[in-house]
Amino acid sequence: MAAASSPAAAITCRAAVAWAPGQALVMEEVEVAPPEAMEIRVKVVSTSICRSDVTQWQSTAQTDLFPRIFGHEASGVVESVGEGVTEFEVGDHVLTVFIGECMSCKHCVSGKSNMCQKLGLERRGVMHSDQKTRFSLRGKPVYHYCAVSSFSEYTVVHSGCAVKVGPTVPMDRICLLSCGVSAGLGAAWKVADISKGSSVVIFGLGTVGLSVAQGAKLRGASIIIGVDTNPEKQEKGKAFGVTDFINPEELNEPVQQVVKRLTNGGADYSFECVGDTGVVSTALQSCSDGWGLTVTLGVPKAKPEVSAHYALLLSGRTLKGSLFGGWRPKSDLPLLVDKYANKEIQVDDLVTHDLSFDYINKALELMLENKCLRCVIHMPQ
Amino acid sequence: MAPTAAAGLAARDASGHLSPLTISRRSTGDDDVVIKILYCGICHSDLHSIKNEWKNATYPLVPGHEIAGVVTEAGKNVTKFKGGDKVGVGCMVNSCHSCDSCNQGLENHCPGVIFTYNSVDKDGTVTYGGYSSMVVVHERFVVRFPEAMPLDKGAPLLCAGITVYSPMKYHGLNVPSKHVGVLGLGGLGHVAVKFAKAFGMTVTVISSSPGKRQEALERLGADAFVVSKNADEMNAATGTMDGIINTVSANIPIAPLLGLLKPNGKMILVGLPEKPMEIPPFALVASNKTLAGSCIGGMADTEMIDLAAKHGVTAEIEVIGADYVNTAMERLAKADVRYRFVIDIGNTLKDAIE
Repeated sequence: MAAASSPAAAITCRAAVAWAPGQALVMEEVEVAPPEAMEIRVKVVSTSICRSDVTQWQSTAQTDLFPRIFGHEASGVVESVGEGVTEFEVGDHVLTVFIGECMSCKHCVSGKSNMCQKLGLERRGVMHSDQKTRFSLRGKPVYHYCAVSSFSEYTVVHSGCAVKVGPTVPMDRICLLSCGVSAGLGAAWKVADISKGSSVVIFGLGTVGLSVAQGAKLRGASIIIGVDTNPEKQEKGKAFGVTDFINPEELNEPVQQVVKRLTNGGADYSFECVGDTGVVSTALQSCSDGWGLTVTLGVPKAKPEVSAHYALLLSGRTLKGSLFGGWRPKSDLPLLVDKYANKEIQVDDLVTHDLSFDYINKALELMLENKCLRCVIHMPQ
Repeated sequence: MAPTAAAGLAARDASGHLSPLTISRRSTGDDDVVIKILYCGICHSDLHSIKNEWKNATYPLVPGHEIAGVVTEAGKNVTKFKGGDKVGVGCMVNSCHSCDSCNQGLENHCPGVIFTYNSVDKDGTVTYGGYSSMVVVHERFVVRFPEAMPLDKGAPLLCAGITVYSPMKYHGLNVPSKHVGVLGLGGLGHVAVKFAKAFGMTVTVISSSPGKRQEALERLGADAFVVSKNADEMNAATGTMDGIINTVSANIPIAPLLGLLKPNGKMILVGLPEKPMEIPPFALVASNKTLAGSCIGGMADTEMIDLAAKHGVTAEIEVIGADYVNTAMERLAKADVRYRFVIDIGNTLKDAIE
């Protein structure tokens, strides 16, 4: 069913603009252009802050992409649709996703990949289609982040980067399914395919790591070891399924030795959720000879290269990466939303702060100080 | 473009005597608005500042934060204003732009707020106020005057007006069902009465001066008048008010005034008494009352100028020439003004310089 096609006008709204790397976001009145072909404009309802928002905001690698609007975990309501969009109507509730699914390219039709060739991870601060921005401020472009940019009251996304959700699910909680929670669950279920009775070790008990733990528990893993330098994560980890907690700073031996002792030779699965390539090596050493699988999910802040002794791989271990837990947004994400609605998966306990849009800089501070898991930003309604 | 010389009136020491001084205004930044100042209100704060009564004066000190004039130039990033626009500047000229308070339009609570005068600006210079021929201000801190708002009678709203409007807004004293008391009938109080009537509220003026009754009821539009020293009148008004805007800066007993509030009522201080107040706990606790404070208002609250224009709210003023400013200060100190002095900068400041 085609939506009404009255031509939409530009909208002026508030957005939290980053003017330079690591500088406090400034609330500005930006202009949001109408959606182009195959795009939708969304009124953002809630957006949660992901570690990668913070990392990219601080990064000095792409200073030409400032001023910029960050944010990519979001829920919203369709405000208008562009030419050619048949999947969405004005008023639909949607989740934004930072990788899209065009459903026609080699990767999408393969059934083995979520690395869409047309709508994959956008790194240049523009829309996939025309390489332009939809935001402007005093006549000058404001760059996007992952083609989502949800730190704005309105944003424009490609229809392939949005997933319709039912009108009754709480939008201030399912926004976590746009990235962090789904990445963790997917790593456990789809990438690793954790089996019942297996042993698991998870490095980093943030939102992603705790979601891996939850996924492992739901699959019936018998040992779930959580590794984190923050002692407060022990209790939180337990709530999400962690059976044994290790704080490496309290050890006088390498953490992988402790893991091997606890798992009788090494974990069946290990997950690196810290964003540190050194930890990837440790994760490899922590899993079992012969069949151990290490999944790396974290996005490193520095030192992008992984190094590992060849013998680790020669002896049968596997190292695998995972983007968004392997989920294909349109094909798979509705399943997760349904599981949340049916209370099969736990999301609410990952939200440590609910803040209004005005307090977005406080949310960034909380992330930097490691004093929160997820801050949910509530947009004015 | 080089900094521009401007004429100003400055105090050079704690005597507070104002005399001509040529000051420097920064070159126009991309986000700046240049304003030719036509009028500037005289606020009691100006008097305190030039006499260093708050012990923070940096001399020479050019006061004035009720500025009204016209835009003469706008920086290249400025889209909201253009040459010829009628505008004003209140108590602030800059802030950090990104803290929680700034994001809410409450720049008055920003830890990095920069006041219109006697503050250190971002470039390290000391800010000079509106007793001068022109000012250069970041566009965020410029207030557009509606067409119906006169510059001279509107200037005092930028300090006195916003100071009484803001607490009415934040404490829910802005709907017709409320009964508000205004304590003190001076520069702040008289504007408070007008804004309260603009919101449709019932207004009672509380004053120690019986002679102001007729003025309050007939000229300013208050609904009732209570003499604070008259026991019968105070008793009759007991427990009738939802809120009281306390504009008085004298030290007066507060318990009888709290008695005028209904249960759950609020007294909001906008005046600053010199000595610590004595607050009997029982007067608050017994009927769940609140004592609150409010300071200026943020840029979000400058919306009050539109409400004022719509309802014809302006200050009652006495326009003076620049050469009269020291005499005006003496009269202000003696409360001999009804209700606000406004300096006619545009027509008279040049004369003072020559």
